[in-house]
Amino acid sequence: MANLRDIRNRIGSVNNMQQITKAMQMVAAAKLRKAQNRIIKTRPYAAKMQEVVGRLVKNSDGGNVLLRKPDRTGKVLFIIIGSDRGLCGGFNNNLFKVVETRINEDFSEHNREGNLSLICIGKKASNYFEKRRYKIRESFPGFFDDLSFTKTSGIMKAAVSGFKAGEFDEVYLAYNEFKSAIAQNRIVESVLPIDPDTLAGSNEEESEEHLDYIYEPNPDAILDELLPQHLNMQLWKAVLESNAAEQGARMTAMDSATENAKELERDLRLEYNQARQSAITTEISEIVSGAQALEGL
Amino acid sequence: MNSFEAQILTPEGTLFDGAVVGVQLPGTLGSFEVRSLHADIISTLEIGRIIVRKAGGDDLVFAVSGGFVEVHNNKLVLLAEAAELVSEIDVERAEAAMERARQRLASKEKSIDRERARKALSRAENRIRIAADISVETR
Repeated sequence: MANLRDIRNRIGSVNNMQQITKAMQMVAAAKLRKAQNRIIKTRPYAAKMQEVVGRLVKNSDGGNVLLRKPDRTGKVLFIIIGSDRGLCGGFNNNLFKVVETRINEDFSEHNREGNLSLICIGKKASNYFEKRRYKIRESFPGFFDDLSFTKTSGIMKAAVSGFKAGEFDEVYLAYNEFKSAIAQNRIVESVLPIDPDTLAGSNEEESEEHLDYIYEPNPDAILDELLPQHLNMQLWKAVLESNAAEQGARMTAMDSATENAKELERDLRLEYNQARQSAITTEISEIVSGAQALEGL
Repeated sequence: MNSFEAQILTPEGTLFDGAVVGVQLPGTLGSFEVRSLHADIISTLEIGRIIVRKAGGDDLVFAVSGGFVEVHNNKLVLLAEAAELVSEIDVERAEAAMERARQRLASKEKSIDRERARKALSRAENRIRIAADISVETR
């Protein structure tokens, strides 16, 4: 009989689990919708910014500090965007693995000599890389509780001034790009120095006619102002992408957890019924054999 | 009067998108107004006030904290770092920000980013000034 009660308890707890994962899935779905809206709102700004910056860079002499390629890559900085919370499947680990592979392929020497540092956004990112003894320059746990453009700009500003001061020669950005609720693209992209080719618009012949713009105050001053803004935008967009991707990943992870719990419950119920049936059978046969024994008297 | 298309975009979303007859802007080299068929221009903006004269006749006033504007093919696109409609300015918050910035500037600690504090101060002053202007005009 104890066996029956055990199974009943387990069914109860699996049921509770199911309710929790179901609730988490719905919360993630609501947050996903919000995050998606946010990124859709940001896209026109980012696209326009990239367009104008690309045009300006094409018309400039490439003398801006942020465009200058270093002679040799002495020091490298990675900005890694993870999440603050877990329970979102392989969202964090998959990205971190990609980053580690990249580091091992291209920068293993830098890493060994302490010339590679990381900026970690999100608690999971700093936990992961701290444990593996990477050199962490700064980490931002709890970043996603209160997302704001000012906060990401601050991070980018620090990276830019570090680049200008020669603290690093290359800066990379790693994040999950939101593709759909069930799929993320893991992206590692170069941020600094700015590569004009990644900015340039598709149509070449257009560049000629843009030369007769009025520039106030002048192209170089505008570029000085715009390039940092463009970088801020790039990081802000990456953070929003990652935020949306995280909610999507959590939604699918929780959906499959709910499915698994359902399956487990089905199995347990079968087991429970079988146990109950066999208990009844034994009881009946006991009664019957008891009655037979009485008849014989 | 001839109208043309104007858009005001911020990282947090689109603030304005529609037909206008003129847009007054706080350019780095001084305030100027763009009317229809303005020559192609790219200009950086200072902290200040944007007045959008809608084709329907109403004026909209925005507080802006830097950014830049592009006019191309008679279409104006303004990319603001931060901007808000004057009626949506939170004066209390701006006053608190002003107070904070003043305190930071007044203290003698070395660790303070003076440049940043000064900018925060002028942003807050700008918001308060623009909000005050409007409440006087509408009275």
